[in-house]
Amino acid sequence: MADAARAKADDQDRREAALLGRIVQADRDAIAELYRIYHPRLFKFIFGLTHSYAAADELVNDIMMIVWQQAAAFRGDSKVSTWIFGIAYRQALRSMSRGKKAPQHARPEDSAGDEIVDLETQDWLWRGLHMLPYPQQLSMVLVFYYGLSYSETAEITGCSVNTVKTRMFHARRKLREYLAESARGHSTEDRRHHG
Amino acid sequence: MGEKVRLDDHGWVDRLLPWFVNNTLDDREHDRVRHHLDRCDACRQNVSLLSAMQASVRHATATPIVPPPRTGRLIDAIDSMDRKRAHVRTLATVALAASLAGVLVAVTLVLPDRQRTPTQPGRYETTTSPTHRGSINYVLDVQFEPGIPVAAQERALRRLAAKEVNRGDAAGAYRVTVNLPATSLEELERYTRDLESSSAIKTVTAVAVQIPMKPRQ
Repeated sequence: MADAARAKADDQDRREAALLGRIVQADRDAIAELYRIYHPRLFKFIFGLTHSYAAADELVNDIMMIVWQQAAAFRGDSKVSTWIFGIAYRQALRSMSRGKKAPQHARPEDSAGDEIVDLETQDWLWRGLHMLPYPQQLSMVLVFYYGLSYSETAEITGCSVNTVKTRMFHARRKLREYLAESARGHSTEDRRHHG
Repeated sequence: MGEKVRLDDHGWVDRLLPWFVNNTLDDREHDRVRHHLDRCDACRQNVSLLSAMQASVRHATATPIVPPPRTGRLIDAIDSMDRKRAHVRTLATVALAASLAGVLVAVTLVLPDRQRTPTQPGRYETTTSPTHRGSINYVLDVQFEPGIPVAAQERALRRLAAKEVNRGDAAGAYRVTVNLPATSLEELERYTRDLESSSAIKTVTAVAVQIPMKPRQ
């Protein structure tokens, strides 16, 4: 079963590489087809990083424009999907850094929560996440929302595996510090209210 | 549980914890982390934190309703970009052509004009002046065949329209200067061969080329 799935994925990658080859020749039908294939995935990916519907809508278009312009730069060293999602990651990062389309992160929904953590902790963690530098935030989202392995995260972010591991390590350290500070502030506030 | 934690393993495991939590480690790595966690409180606490983070991210990142792809908008944007690029290319071509035209104008009008700028009295123009272009003096040594009368030799030299004629030391030898259009060496050689084809002339040798110089009025 795993072999069949891998063969299917390889076949899809070859098909997409062929589309890129046609895009190099300025074939508009090819870019339209690739756009239809990637639109839902890219939209969700960008939305997951930026939490902005408008940013996702706009950036998907920008990403496909970059694919159109830089198709000749694809050397086949990675899968087409990794190459495209790498572009998406950089566009999202740039967009967030510019602050033009700053992510409007929704707070965790008050839905039936994960059994492991209570809603308050989730809320603090969510706030803490947004205190992190953008590359660390995005790495957290790639790993925990998209469930990427460290090698996939490295490929998409264009970093070495060691850099990705270090980035996640520092993110975790900062989160821990933030939670500790928040807990101290929280208990001070509690004392003020009850004291 | 009484087993001691290996410090080298701790560092390695610590860096892999996010991927232990999202379950993307391979079997060997997963087992090694699992084994380490059984003995390491610090790593277990970190796993709890990262699990909470994962839950938070997953809860907050609701799956959006994806709008339908707008292929037409993308193709319009590509067409627009291509038109802009074509326009820029056209502008660049026009700018290049204008620059070249400017250079040509400078070369054909301005530079000769500079050359025609009056020089100081008593100085001489060179053949780069358009007035002298294409006119060169060739100095030829002409040797007549023995027994050709002097009168016949002089008639032959007059036919050359020689500007200067100097009699050489030997009999029938002359050094003459003829003014001819600027020519290639091949043409000069052809010219001297034509002269040699005359029954009266034995040899004609081009010995020098002079650039005509004219004193300014």
